[in-house]
Amino acid sequence: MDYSEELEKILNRYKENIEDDLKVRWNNWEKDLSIPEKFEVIGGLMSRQVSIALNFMTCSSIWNGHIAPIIMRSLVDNYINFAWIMEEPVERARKFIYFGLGQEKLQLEHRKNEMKNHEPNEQEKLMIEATESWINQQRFTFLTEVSLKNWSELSVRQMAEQADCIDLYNYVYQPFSCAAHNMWNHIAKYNLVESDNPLHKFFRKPAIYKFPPDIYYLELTAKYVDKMFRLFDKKTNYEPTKEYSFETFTNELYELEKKIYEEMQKQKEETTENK
Amino acid sequence: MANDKSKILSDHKQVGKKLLPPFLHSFPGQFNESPYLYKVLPEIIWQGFLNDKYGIKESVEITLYLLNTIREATNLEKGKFFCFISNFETLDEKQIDKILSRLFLNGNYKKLTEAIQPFITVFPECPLKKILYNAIPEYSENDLQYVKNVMNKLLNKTGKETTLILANTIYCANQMGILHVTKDSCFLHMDEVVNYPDTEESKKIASFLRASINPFVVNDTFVFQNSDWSKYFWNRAYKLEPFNIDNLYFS
Repeated sequence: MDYSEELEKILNRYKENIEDDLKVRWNNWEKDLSIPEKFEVIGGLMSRQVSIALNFMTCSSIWNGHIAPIIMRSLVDNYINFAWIMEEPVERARKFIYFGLGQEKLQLEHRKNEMKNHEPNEQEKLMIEATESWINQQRFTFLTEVSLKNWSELSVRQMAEQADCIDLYNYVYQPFSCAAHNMWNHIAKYNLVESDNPLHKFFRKPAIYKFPPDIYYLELTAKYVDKMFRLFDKKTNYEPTKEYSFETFTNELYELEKKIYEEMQKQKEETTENK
Repeated sequence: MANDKSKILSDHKQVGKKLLPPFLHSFPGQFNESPYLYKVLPEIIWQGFLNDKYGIKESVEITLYLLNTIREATNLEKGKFFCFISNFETLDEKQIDKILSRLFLNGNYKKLTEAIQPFITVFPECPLKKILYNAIPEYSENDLQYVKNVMNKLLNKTGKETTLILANTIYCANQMGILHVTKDSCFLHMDEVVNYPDTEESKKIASFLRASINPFVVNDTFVFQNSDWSKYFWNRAYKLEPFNIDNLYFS
């Protein structure tokens, strides 16, 4: 039996649901344009979480240990930033913006420096102008400082501690970081294969393991989106008018799994009877 | 080919883990940013409606008439400058009565109220309402559309309409003895501003105007800093037409 169509329907429903979740939260949130940074940063981070999830869910070829941990790490990183900002939204949202503008200015200076050795073409000039104007619109480049530290001036671990999500850091962010940073404990397991030849002293050679798509990563993705929405709801006193999309999604996945299991059991019984 | 690449941001000073631009490390803590959209525009936007209806020359006359009337009626200290809307919050009932009794039946006052009427109906809590005799009606769609049109022109801090209201403000500040200029200041050729941005002289004046407005709007001597006007202005504007999400996707 092929259940891919049913899975696709569940995924599509979930995707529509989280799009609505974002819309309804933004639209119902009372804005204060005297502190736009708070709303833009929080809204932007939520949109980022949803857009990563939506894109990840459309691409089953990356639901595996090679790529999915990179995406999961990004989702968790985004959540920790979000949770830390939510503790003091105005001040921290500004910090987040100013750091980003500083980084953009740094990149701009690198590009300008690169162009010192040749006459920039029209496209390069336009790019420089557009970047400069993008920064100036928010803060004059001549007033923009460049930070050489983390944007929050804290380690991610400290941010997670302060935002009451240290478990997420220890058990999720850290392990997924090994994949994102291509560290030995990921590479050795996923990109090398050990020789079983006694002549090779357990030597390893490069390998690319083929993994089937793993639904578990979908559940994780939905979980990290859900964490963000729940924290937003708590901090802004938003009361959802419907069940959380994560609940619906996991219930539907469970029903599908049950169906597949029952089908397999039935087939097994039939085979036994035939024998 | 010779490599001309040099160290980037070499004019910045490293303080701890930060590279500070020259402006910030040369004047530590002295330079206050005054965002045009939040601090400047709400204070002087009303002149955009005057300029739009009567042109800059007549607008200056009307504005100066109002400013002189307020000064005569209130005997307030020289600094408070009533080109800035927030300052109207500081006027008490007695002062308002005195001002209104002087303004009543005056042609300039009539012109002023006609010009700012759509603006006040859209922003009924604007402190300028204090100098209006009549109750503020509900805004109409036409009022809102007109206010949006004027605001649209004033959002650009280097635009012509913005430059003209800055010119009104700075000119009036000088006429009221609040801003003094040196004899070599480009302010003396202020008339040229009407040609902005087509002449070099007008561009110089526009730069002078943009630079001159900032020290005013962040200083309590000139603008009442505890005012809620700017906050009210932008939040009211947002509430009129919220930026809701209908469609998440953009190409």
